[in-house]
Amino acid sequence: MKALKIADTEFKSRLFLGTGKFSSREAMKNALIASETELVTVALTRVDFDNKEDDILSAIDTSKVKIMLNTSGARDAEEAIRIAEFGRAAGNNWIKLEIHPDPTYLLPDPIETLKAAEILVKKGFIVLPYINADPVLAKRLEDVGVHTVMPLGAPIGSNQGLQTEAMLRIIIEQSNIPVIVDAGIGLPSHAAAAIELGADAVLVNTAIAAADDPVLMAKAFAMAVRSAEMGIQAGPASASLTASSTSPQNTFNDLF
Amino acid sequence: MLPYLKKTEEQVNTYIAGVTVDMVKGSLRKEHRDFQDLLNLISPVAKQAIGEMRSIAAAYRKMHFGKTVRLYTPLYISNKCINSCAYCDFNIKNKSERKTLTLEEIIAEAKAIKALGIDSLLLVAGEDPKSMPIEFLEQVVKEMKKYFSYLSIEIFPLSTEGYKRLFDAGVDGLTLYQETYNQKLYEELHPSGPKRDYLSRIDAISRGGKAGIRTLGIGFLLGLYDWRTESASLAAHAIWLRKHFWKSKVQFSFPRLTPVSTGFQALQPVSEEELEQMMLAFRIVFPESDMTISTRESAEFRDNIVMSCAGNISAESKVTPGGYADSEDKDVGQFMLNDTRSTKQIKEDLKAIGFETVSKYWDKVI
Repeated sequence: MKALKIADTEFKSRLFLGTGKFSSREAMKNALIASETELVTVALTRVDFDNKEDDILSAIDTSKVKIMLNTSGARDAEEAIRIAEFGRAAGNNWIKLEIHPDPTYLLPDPIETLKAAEILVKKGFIVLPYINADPVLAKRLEDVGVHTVMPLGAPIGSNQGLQTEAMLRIIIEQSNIPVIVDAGIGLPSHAAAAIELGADAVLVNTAIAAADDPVLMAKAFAMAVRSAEMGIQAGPASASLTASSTSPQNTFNDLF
Repeated sequence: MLPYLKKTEEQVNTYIAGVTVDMVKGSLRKEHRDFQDLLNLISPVAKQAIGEMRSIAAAYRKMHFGKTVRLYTPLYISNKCINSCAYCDFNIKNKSERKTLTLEEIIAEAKAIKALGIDSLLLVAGEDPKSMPIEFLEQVVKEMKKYFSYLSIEIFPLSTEGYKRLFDAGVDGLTLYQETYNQKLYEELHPSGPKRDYLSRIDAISRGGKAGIRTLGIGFLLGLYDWRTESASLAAHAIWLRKHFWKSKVQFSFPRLTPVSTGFQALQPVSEEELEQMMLAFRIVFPESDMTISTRESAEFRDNIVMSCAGNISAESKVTPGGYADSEDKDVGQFMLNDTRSTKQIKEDLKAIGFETVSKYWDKVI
């Protein structure tokens, strides 16, 4: 597989993590370590620069893990840009652009996202937009210069897996920038399936944070992503509708 | 019942009474649920499936809110009120001393609350537009946003324009209880004052929605009327709000009547078991909605309900204006509290059951 590079940063791990919903900062910290992730997303709404005791950032080892703030909470482009600017003032240039005005399914707004992405790219941000699995939108975003696209597999937090597979396939096929499947990944097998589909990485949060044992689940995800990657490197035999014998007849023919 | 519903109260009650255990199980097995499922889950026979309801609700709660609990604290800025709600100690007929805090006093309260480690504030006031013109409220909101990331209001109804002004000043959430959805009882309990107008009260929360306020908090006062009938109205109200204000989220609260000094007794008391059933039903049918539980309930009940339903809880509440900065609680409070634990104690108790309390879950930048 081609090495994963976003903007100028290369990532060895194709597993990115979200930081919400953990039962404690220790639980989050240990899960991040177990996952071997190198990129995590943190909601600005959860960052408290004034109160170190409550601050989620203090639990992240930034020598090993890159932080990208996300704009969760923003309902439109203007709010998202405000959050991004605030984050940059605090030293974070990577922004996971998510604009979901609908609080029920938290589905991303394509129009506001495109609007904000264009402005943020011009302002020099590294922009990773969270989008619905819409191939045309993915290309439109690529055209304005975003650094990845992050289509959803299913509604965020739903753990339903790759419900949007047919559209993800097209996005992956057409994209010239990394495709990260974000949202909906509920099981290690879903993450593996996304990588096998051709996604460059996956982003997982609820499935790990809400697991009974988040550390074990983080490890499981890391292994699933690795094994899918290895499988691709190994060059899988093509699938066929008919059965083929593992010792085909013509092998024997050669012997006689 | 909530007006504009196609079903009459009698039809709804007849339906609820006729729900069978199989219908409850059917609702629990479904993946997507609707209004009828809520009726099934609040029915008397659903009590037999309470264990199953608990585990399904807990799974949704965990899926949508993880293992975190959000803290907030109310700040009472005034106990002056021109209404005459029979169940409330701010009732105009209750002749005790009243006051509206000055901006300076409100700031002193804010600082005291902030020092508790709280970052989400609920501003509460009785209805007295004379001592609290919109300009004053606007000023208070702007000032409070300097201290708190998330700000909600639970005050008398405003016009769409009024709500818009407060939204622009920094208000994130609006809570407005209908008290009871039964119009006849509503008019009996609110004999005078502007609150008497039942339809205007129903309409007020949608004015908040039109103004763009992010969280629309609804509820009824548990203990006034049959909780099952009221729950049906509440659910219908929520569905309506969601359809019309798709950018706002609905928040449910379940305030249960606690004793007030005037001696008003609950007309149709709701037990803890019934309160739990109601909350479980709402969590299962509205899995992603916000649910709060206040210090009206006991510490034990609150810790339990956090595991299956509630994502937002209040802490260290004082229900008198000036109650935080001035530790001597001598003024008239709105009602009696049951959970008087400190914020620190709440944090420790919730940690022991595997939940992290979160103070900051919003940002002023937004």
